[in-house]
Amino acid sequence: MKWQTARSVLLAGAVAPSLMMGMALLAPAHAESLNFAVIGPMSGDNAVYGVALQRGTQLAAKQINAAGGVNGDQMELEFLDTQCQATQAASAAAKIAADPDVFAVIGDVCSSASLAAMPIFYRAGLTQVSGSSTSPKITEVVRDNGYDNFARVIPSDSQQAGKMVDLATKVLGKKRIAILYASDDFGQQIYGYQQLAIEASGAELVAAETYTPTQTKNFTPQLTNIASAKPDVLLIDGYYNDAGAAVSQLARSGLGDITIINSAGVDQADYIKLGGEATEGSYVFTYYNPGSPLEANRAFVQAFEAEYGEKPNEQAAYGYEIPFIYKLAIEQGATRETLAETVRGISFDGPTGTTRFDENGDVLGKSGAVMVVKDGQFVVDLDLTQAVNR
Amino acid sequence: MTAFLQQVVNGLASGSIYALIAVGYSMVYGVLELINFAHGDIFMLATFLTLTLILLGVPWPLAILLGILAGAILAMIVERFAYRPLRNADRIAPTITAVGAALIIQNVALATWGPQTQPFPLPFGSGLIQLGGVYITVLQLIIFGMAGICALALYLLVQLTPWGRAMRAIRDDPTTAELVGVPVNRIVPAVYAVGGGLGVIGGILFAAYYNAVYIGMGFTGTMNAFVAAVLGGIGSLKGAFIGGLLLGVMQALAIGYIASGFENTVAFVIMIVILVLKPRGLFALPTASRV
Repeated sequence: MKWQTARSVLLAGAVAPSLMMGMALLAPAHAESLNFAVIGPMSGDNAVYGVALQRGTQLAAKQINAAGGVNGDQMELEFLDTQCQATQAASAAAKIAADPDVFAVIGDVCSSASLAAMPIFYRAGLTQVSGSSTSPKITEVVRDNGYDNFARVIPSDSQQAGKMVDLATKVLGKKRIAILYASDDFGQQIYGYQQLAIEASGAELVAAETYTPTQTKNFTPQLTNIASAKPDVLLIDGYYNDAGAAVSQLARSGLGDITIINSAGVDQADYIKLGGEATEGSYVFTYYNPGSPLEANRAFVQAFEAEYGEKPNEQAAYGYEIPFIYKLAIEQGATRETLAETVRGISFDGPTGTTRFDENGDVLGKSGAVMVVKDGQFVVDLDLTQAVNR
Repeated sequence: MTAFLQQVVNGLASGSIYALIAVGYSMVYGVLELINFAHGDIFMLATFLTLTLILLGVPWPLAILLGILAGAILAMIVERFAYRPLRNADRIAPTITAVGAALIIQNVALATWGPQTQPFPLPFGSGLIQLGGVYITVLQLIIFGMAGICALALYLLVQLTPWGRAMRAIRDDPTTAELVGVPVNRIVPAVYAVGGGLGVIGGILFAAYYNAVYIGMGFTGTMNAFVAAVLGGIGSLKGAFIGGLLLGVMQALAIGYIASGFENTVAFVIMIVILVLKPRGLFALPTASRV
């Protein structure tokens, strides 16, 4: 008896605050809020990307709401963790599709996760804009299935693949190229386009090795193979944690002082933390230049630093633009049903430059930047950036 | 040829780490015929603990010793609460509690340290020696040395001490051993402690060699130890050690000469082939099967 009383008191104590919290959460969710679902890797080995997306979108929503919202409505963001995994992305997408209060979707970060979520959002008639999924496979899938609800603000890797090869051959004058790529949608696709670009450049692809992202920790056998082909440059198509681990194992593979060019997304502080001294002097090709002199970029960097105390990265910058693109589309008269069509016809000036879309929802006219690790920090190499965009 | 030797040297380095992990794993199996699924997670937690101590400024030799001690104690706790109550139960029951213990340890580590991969700060420089075109790092030499010292120490412990004799007695027949006065409930936890401690040495070398400490390293370790132990003949310490070395070299050569995506596929195919030819492993225990 006593135990039951105690238990009901405990239960009441536990239920009451959660009810109150529930009410507090419900309070702003009446007709005057505009809800967006943000999907990305908020935990797990790729959490750095998801957290950057979260910060970028949150800053945008905060600025939009402070300036009076979207046609007077407050923008609300709901974050769902997909850990860069297709299965998790599909279940998050199903949950979002079942919620009639969601106006549109932002994300995912990883291409494999976006690809898993796309058909679900398409069937639900929800607009999806990704700021980080760069696989060229997405263009094919959008075209083949008529996914007119999808757009992405970051360029496809078919462009990045060519730029990385240009940087290696035309700008740095390398002749013997080796590639280490992730065995997922992102890695396999960018590798395919790099093969074409290398063939066209007249340089030679002397070795190509693959690995399983987040699972492979021992890169030494792959790197040893690469070393025996005597390359003069190594392209790494992967993620910051894998690239960091791989670079830290260069010495024992006999690849000591090779020039390294990483794909976009490796420009995270953790790459330097995991890779240590071996990362010094390595390059990262990225689609966002935090030092860009554009007025929109300077204002963004200043606001981001004031809010979070650090410089924004690629995922934060592209994530920041998406709520503004949605806002612009809605102000041009878009409804939940016509949003994707309006978004695809938009022209928006943001920190990464001017955003316009082609008939597959791919972004047009973005240029990249070349970062180099110097004294344990990422800095933009202006000369190389200019040379690669020429 | 240089590339081949380089792959073998690197394979032996990761193989030595597998060997250290597998020996502790196989020792427990040899004594109790229990598949200790918590083995990898115990060393994972202890490695995280070692990392935390080093980051807090504890001198690294002391941090490593404390880590090994923590692993040994944790292994004894798991034995006391998850395995001992089921020692005479059907064999499937302790296998399930082992998985349960593994999940509990994983989640405690996840809640404490989070899901991110963390670098393991190397206290010793990553010096490089070149031997006829083959590169060997100082760390690899340390790994070879540690594996050799641990193997030798364990051999002496098992073959020459009263404790080792008691352990072998329990392995041969636990009931008779108890009847003739072997203190089973003191020896068995000690076996777990030694196995757990060896696992932690393997775990710390794993973390240092790959420069990565992460939750999944426990499961990876358990699986590799399982393959190594089965390959060598489960229960045999020599078998587990050689099985670990073989596994490391096979994985390296699989990547080097077959396809880089097939690391585990090739290793497991070779394991199946060996088991078809020698079903009890390469170095099966000479004891007759129990009835």
